[in-house]
Amino acid sequence: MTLVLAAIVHVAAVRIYPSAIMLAFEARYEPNRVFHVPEVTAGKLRIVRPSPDLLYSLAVFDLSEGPIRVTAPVPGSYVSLSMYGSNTDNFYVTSDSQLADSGFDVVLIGPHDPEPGLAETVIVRAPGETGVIVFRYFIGDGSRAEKIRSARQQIALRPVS
Amino acid sequence: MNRLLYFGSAIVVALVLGTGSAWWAVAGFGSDAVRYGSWKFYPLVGSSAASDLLRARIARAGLLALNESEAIYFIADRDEEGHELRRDCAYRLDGQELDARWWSITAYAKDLHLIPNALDRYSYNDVNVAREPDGGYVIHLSGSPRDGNWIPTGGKGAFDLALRVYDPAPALLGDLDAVELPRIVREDCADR
Repeated sequence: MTLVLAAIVHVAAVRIYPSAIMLAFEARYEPNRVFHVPEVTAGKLRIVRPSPDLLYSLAVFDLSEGPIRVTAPVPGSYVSLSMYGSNTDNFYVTSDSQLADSGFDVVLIGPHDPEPGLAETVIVRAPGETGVIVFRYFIGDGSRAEKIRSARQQIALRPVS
Repeated sequence: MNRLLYFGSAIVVALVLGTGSAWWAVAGFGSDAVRYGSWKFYPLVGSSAASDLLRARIARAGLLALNESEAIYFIADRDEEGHELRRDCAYRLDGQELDARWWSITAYAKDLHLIPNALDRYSYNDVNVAREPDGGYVIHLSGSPRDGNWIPTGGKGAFDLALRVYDPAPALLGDLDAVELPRIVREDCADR
């Protein structure tokens, strides 16, 4: 009996662990608000294995009150927009090289929300009501720092009216 | 009373065994990997097809990793002879260009955080690395300063390297066996 119970605990612990880590991460940030992570150095960060070649901006999304629209310009160098479910899955990612126009414009909807009738906008259905959005900006040799700073400041998350 | 004690003890042992073995499995980070020389690659990182165990391993050692359509991550914790990378040893990393939008190589201490150093130098990328005449590059990893590309890794304990390849070309993604990943050669160690 002990071994069977231990096996059940093992499977449950492995299954729960990713969601527990994500919930703890999400709890640190006010939902639907963008946070700009300072340049990565050797101090202890909330994310392990951070890349010092990237600048990160992130937001915890909460779709309980409806879809949100994510917009951001591109700085003329690599930038990606990625979205993670509360089980850590990277359910959506795109980068500047895949954009037809000059910036990101994505509407994020909940698992049961009807699709909004928005032309010219990418609609992404999240697997759950909460998760994390991450923008990654490639620093390169640092020469585009001002353009990146300006682009980060223009990231916007707002309700879809 | 004895029966209650027996069941209570069995439950406690099961909890300890279950959580202990789960942590051991999560911290293991090995069986899902495909190995290319010194480098390991985890094909289903970030994917909805990942197993519960791989998700748990990523949550511990690489939370918010991208899936392979956008970036692929290679991790090296051994040199080309199979010896663990040690912070009291010096290494030479020889690499060639990769078919991708950009790449970077970063050193991490055993706690998965960057290795503190006075230069705040933790990595090189394809833009800021100094090139050899043939277009390749050499990066030195050691405690004492080296000419050229140098990441200070001095200290005690093990370390590892992450090679991030962003927006990889379909040809690269489709044939990882053909990719020429950097060689990691141990040069000397403090106890030699």
